[in-house]
Amino acid sequence: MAGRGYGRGRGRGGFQSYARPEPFVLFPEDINLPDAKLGENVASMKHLIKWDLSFDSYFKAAPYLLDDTESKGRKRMHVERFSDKKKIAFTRDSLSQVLYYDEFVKELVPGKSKQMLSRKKFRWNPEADAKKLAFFEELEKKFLAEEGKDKKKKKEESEDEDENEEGKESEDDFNDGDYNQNVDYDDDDDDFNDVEAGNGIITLLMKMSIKILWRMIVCSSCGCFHTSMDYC
Amino acid sequence: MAPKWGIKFAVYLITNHFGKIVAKVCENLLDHGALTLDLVIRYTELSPEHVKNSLLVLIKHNCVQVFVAQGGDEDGSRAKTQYMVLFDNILHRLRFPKFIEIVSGELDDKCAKFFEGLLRDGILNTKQMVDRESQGKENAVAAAAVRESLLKLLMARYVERCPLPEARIVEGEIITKKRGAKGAQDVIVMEKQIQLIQALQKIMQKRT
Repeated sequence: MAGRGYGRGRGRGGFQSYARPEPFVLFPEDINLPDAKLGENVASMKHLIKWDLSFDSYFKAAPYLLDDTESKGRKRMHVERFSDKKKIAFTRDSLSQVLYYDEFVKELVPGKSKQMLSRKKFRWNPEADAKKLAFFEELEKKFLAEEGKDKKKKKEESEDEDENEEGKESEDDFNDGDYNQNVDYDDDDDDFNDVEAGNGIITLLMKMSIKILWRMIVCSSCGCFHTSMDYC
Repeated sequence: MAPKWGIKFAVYLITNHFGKIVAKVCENLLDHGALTLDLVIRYTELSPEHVKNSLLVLIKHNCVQVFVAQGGDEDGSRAKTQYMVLFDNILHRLRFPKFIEIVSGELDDKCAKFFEGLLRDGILNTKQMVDRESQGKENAVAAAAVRESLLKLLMARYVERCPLPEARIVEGEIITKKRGAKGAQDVIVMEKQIQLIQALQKIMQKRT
């Protein structure tokens, strides 16, 4: 059945055959190319070829041809032989010998970058500091004046109190120091982490490191960063 | 934007003349368009020194144009310098022998020699040209003689003076960077720097 059906289809559609693949010939011999018409231009062609070759040879030896010198260096890692000496005859000029750097953008010129600030910007300005010092001195004077007034008032008040409560000389006299007041006093106790809760050693270490860091910051601020004066 | 095969051809020409490192920089500029120095370094994955040197070579041979895009601070501290490859100028490198032939036909041999020097070394100033000419000779060539033949080339518009290194683009116009009154004097006094774009175009027009 299947074979008959196939046969019918063939009959209707006509006999189809694929073209035989012919072997591809790279250089067929039966083609005749016309002769090159050089004619009068032979001399100029020769000149052109000569110039072209001279350009090629120039650019091969020119300093503009950038080599990867590092990779060459790696290749020479092996023990030098006598035959290697002959190979290192040619040395190319460096770019800096040829280039005239005024013609180029600053960021490309070696040793200069556009982001580099001029020295004027970093210069220490003593006048700016003098103003600030004067300002702080004024503030201090004001503060002292206010403190003086407060003390006078306090003295007057305390004298009144003494008169009223002479007999009551209590432990309040010890309240002068910060230690007893327990304000702004660091007694090396961690307020947030309990030492006995298991993390004691870690918290202690943390504290030590913070102290050391703080000291380092203080020390560094003494000497090094004069330039930051301008930015204050 | 250059076609794909055009880019390949341009890269091949640059590889022949300047080596693989410069060709890589050139290829990235052709692929991505105008780029800043940082971006070129990132795309090429080469060392900054290599990228800078190859850009210098490309600028020297007039294959890359530098410009400062609009924006940044008033004093131009944050304005980014961009590098744009000149595709046509790269293809012109193949026609160098033809250019010399035309110039030597129209002008004298001296001019042709100067012209050849410019094709070989790209941008040159008069001092460099005098030095070039005096190489291998006992007496140095007089600057006046160099100027004379240079003037001929300039009059024929085969060469032209270079613009300032950083052109600033403002609303579509290309204006050279202002350097104040002193800078203007410097520009006038500045020695003649020669470039080839106009010359090459003119030669091409004449031929076609």
